[in-house]
Amino acid sequence: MSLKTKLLLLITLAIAGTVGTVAFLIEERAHEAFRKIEQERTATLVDQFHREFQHEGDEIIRGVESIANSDSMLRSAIELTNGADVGPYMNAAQSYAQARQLDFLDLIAPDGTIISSAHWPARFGYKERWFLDRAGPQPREAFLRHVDTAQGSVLAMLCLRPVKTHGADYYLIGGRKLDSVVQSLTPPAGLRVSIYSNPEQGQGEIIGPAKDNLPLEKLMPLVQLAMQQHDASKTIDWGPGLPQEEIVHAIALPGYSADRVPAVLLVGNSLQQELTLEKRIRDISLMIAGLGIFIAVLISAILTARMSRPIRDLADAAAEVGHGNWGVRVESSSKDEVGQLAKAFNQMTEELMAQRERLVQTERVAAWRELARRLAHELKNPLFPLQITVENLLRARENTPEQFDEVFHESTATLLAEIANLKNIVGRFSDFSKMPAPQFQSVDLNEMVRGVVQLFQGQLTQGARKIDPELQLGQAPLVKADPVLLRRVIENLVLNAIDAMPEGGKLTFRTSKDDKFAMFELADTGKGLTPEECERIFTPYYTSKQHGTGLGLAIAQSVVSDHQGRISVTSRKNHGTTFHVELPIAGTTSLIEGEKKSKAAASAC
Amino acid sequence: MRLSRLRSIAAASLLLALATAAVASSRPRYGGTVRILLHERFNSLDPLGDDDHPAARDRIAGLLFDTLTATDTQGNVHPRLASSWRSESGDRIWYFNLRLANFQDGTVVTAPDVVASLTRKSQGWQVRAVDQQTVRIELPVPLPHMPDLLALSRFSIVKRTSDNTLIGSGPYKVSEWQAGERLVLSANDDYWGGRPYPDSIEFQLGASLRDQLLQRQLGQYSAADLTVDQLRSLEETKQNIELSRASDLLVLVFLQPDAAPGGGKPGRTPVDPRVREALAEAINRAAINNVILQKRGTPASGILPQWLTGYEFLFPGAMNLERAKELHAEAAGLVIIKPIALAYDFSDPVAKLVAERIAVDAREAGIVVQPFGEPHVANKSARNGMNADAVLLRVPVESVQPAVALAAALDDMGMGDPTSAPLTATRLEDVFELESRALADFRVIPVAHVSEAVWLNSNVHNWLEGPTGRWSLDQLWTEGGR
Amino acid sequence: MLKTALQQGLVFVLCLILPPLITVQGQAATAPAQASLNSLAADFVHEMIARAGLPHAASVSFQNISVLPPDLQESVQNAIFTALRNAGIQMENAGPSPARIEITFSEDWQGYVWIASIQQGGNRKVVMQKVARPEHVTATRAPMLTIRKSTVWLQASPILDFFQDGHTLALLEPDQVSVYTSDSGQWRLRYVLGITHAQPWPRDLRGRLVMNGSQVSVFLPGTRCSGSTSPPTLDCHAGDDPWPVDQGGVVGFYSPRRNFFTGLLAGPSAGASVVPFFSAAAWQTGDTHQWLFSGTDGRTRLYQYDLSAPAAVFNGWGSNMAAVHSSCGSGWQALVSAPTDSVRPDSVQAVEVLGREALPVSAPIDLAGPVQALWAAGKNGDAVNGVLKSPTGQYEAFTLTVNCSR
Repeated sequence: MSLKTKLLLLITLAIAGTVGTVAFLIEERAHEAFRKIEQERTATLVDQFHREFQHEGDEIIRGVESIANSDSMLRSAIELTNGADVGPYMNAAQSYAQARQLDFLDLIAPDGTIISSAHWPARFGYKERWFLDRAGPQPREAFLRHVDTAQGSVLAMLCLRPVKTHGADYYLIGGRKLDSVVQSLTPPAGLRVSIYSNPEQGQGEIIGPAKDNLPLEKLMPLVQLAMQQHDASKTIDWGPGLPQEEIVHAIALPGYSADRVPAVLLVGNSLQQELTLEKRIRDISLMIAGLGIFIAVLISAILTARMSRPIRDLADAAAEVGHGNWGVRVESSSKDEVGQLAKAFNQMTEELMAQRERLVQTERVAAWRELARRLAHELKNPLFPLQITVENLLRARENTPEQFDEVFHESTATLLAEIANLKNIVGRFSDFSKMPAPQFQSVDLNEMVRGVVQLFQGQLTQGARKIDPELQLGQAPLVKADPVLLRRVIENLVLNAIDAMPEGGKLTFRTSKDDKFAMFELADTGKGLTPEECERIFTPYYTSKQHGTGLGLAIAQSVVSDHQGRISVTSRKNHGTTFHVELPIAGTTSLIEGEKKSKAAASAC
Repeated sequence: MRLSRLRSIAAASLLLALATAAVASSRPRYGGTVRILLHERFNSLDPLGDDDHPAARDRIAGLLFDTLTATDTQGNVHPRLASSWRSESGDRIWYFNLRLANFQDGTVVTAPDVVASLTRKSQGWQVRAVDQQTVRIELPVPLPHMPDLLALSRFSIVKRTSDNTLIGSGPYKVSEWQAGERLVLSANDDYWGGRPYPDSIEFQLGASLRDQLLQRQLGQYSAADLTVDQLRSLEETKQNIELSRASDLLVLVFLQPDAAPGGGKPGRTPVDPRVREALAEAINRAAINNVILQKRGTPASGILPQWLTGYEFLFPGAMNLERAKELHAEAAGLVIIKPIALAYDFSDPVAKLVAERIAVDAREAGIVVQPFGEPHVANKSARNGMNADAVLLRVPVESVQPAVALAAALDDMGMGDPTSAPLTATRLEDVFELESRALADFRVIPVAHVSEAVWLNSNVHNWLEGPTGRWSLDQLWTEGGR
Repeated sequence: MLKTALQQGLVFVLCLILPPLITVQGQAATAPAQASLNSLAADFVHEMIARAGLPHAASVSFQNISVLPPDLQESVQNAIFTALRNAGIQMENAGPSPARIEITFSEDWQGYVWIASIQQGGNRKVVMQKVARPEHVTATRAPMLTIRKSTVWLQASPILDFFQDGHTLALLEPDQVSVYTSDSGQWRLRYVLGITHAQPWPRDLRGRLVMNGSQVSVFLPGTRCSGSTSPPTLDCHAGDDPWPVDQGGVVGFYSPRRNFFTGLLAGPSAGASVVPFFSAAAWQTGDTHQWLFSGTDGRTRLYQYDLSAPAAVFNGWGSNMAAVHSSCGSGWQALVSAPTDSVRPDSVQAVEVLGREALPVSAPIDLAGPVQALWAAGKNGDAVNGVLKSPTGQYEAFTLTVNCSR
């Protein structure tokens, strides 16, 4: 990650963190305030509901009592007790109920038989016994209970009063639908009141405003909790198409018997305002954060432009140095730490340049010394037999003149052979010293490899040692090379490999490519090289063989270097050796410029 | 001595005479207007067509139109437009000789007119005019009760003009007709049976006597038909109420037949016969009669009432809830049972109560019945397109001849045509067998026989009602005329 | 309810019906006297055998859902048992029977209905028979005067007026005059004199028949007929000749298209005019002429001495009235029908005018149906001919006379 990016991130994080923290704190405070208001409003509405509930109950009690105590009802009860026909009373409840504005009214005989029902006239003759089975006294207050009607079970607030005659009590059960109580409430905006009706049989339902809009399945867990522990609350998200979240308080309402909850009061407090405020806070925060980030980007761009450029220049220069361009300089006009760093860098590169000069000088001297030593060594070998041979001639002339002709012929043959050897050494040295300049053209590397394999086919497969050539030629492109010189390189490598496998083995020819270079690899399964041998294998006159001049690989290296390529070797003792040749693809230049021949070889053993 | 005794007895008798009526007479008086309140509305005067309240319409049909024959309150058949008749081929061919009579437009009633009218209603009859005064009717089967049958208002002789105006030959003609609202009939001076006594009769349709009572406008009316719920309050005020025998049949009729097409909305599946039988067993007819009908009727187990045939008791009608539950459970194991949609006349509060009570009783047996009000329940053709499985009908008994009454009732229920099998019955036992067959599959479930009640003002006389409660207003007259 | 064994099998249900005659579905109802019970039962058992077939043994049970009194029910049951035994069927009280007979005494609106439900094996057959119910006879008691009613003739077609003198009975009907002569105590139709008329008759048709020796005079609305009995002829023509209303000299013009007298009088009171009336009664006691007119307005007016103005007006009287001469009271009474509809049973009561009061002097005599006509008749007006229409639809010609009683 670049300094610029780091700076940008740092500043952005700083701004975003600050804005976010502030926004969070504001939200939290707002949340607390809303909660407090919500609780107060809910409590107010619940109180209002209880008051309306009580008021409605009182009205119902008054209505039912006035009917129960009326002369006409008493007269009717007496007549019924005396055996009057029930038929004429079938519609009696309806007229009483209408007069007292009751939704429900049942006139019931002492045995529970319905004599008249205002809300379900057709139910005369059937029995209502639920109140007769009660153990204790009947409640004086109004109570909640579900009433069976032709349209189904309806939640009602009821009151029960007896109509006493001599010897028998008739009963009046009258009331009103509970949803009228709910309808009479006028909750403030954002509050919703409804009631969950829990009938004895069948499914529960919501009654009250918006009853059709609330999905019951979301309310049921809360309702059941309230029925168990009297009250509970929960935040509910109604989902798409409905008012958003609400905090719903559920309060169980008491019924006729203590073991059953007939209804649950649900007060929903809309979180709309709070959510709107939160959203607004978030939006503003985001806007501020966005603005801040924008400013941060600007600041960081400016800062990093000032700070990172000299550092980047330094980095580029260091990379140049790494690539061998030790003459690079970093310009810096600042006097701060970055300027000091640039100055130090420049000093370093100058030192490096000087040291490199000295090293090159030293290496040159060392190379001449090495060349002279090896030349001396090479020359010394044939010179010694020359000296012995001449001494033999002198001795033979002096000691055995009769064998002098024979010795003279043998010695002259030896002299001629050694002189030829000397001439070979000098020729090779001369060849090495004056390598021709390569004539570059586009060369098909695979084709060249196939040609070399074909050339050595007989040598590889015949003879005592059988060497198995294997071609793994990839998509090697055309390379910029001198075909003659390059072929010599490959041939040299093949010869070396053959020499490395006296018992036979496998010789693998491999070509491949990357973006800029074509690769040629020759891998053998010979005895391998030691790391020291890998270090020195490209040194002229270095050889581990009994024969040879030791210049083959040095010439190969020189040719590859002239081709702006690179040759290296990897090997493991007794596991074989692989020579790697990289050549630039025709049309590209070498990645490494100014690479010296002496350091062009990379070896990995 | 004798004179004092005479005087004391005379005084008592005179008081008795005075108590009966302030101004009284036993001979009918001509003139005046009779005003009658009807609580049902009918929209057509055509006795041959369908209507939402055909029974109400048929009440007045006899005032506008003549039939070939007429039955008196004793059930005896008398000549009307036909002065005489005879039959041949074992009652398969009938000849009716027409009297000289005119339509209300002055044209003479001829045999071709009768042929045109009868052909419109009859099915399978070959009706032709032998001459201008003789009509020949050839029937597919012998109908010994043909004269009784032709007395029904559905066989009224109606002349239709090219613009579909109806013209009758009855004792009254139409002066004013506002469909569903008001009908004013004026006396036909040239009626063959003599001009009727009142100058006019006015019918107010869809009117309630209770409303008139509340508005203290009762005095201007002569009569009003009453529903059961109005009876008690009027009786308590010592009004003059005429209550007929329990005749009209409150009946549940299932519209879709089990097999062959015909009846009910096409595509609607019939209710399973076991469910129908279960419903029949579940209905508490005694409770309906005692409470809803306030004992102004009788629980019905047959189509024809006991007082008419004497054999209704042979049909079982007592509630058997256990049997109903068994049948319902048996059906539930074999088919999917849907709620039964039951349509009732929404303008009849008694029908509504009865339908709701049936739903309550059915619920005890596990059967779901959903009653709903419908304005066209009594309209036979409208029932074919109704979204209902069953209808609660009020079917009048139109004749005291059991065979004719059964045939007419089955026709009204959509279960047969007027030339159906009951008319071929010559013995009461045969009528019983045919009625048994009609009830066997429980597509027809009788509920109650209901009395017809009418309030009569003291100034109206000769208000005739047959045993079935059918009004005969032919001899009606009112005080105040001259 | 008498029941023998109740088993699966044939059940016969019989209903017993009492007389008089009634015709239903072509079957003639029989009049059940004690003697005819056995024949009724035999006929019924015969019908059961014919329709259902009966085995040699059967169990029989009875139930009564009609108003048949218990004593009569027992008689009927015994008659049925006898008939079954005579038919060779063995009665069994218990044990398996091949047939079960359930007999129900039911009734319809016209009479009793015998219903036999015969169960044999898995089959059930039902046999029914209708029997008429007896009419109730109400006794009349007149503490001062007794009105005696004698039925002269019964027929299905309307009777407007009639004449009888012991050997000739002439009935005025809407379209004919039927003349009967007495033959061995029975009236036998001799001939019919047709009445022709152009206009249709008005409702509540009334007519007057006056027989004077062999002369026949018929008065009908807008039509006048005269003829003779020997040879039997009757010529009718349109006309508005005044009718003889009663034998006291009231002759009045009749409205040709209605059912009342116009009020214009003829005869001895020619030129006088009273309110339109339905009927009138007139007599003379000493020098006092008295008239009673039953007006179409429902009021009955009493005129004394002359017809200039009514002496009294009475309410609550019926429309039919005729004067009758008797040896009771003042010697003249008016027989007046009850103020009921002409479709309900009627009654006739005798009224005497004392001063300007009209006092009932007899108990009303109940009649089976509404009075259609009351005309003064008899020698010197000592009888009143009347016609009523019974609930069965029959028209009854009757004569009323007044007997003095203690």
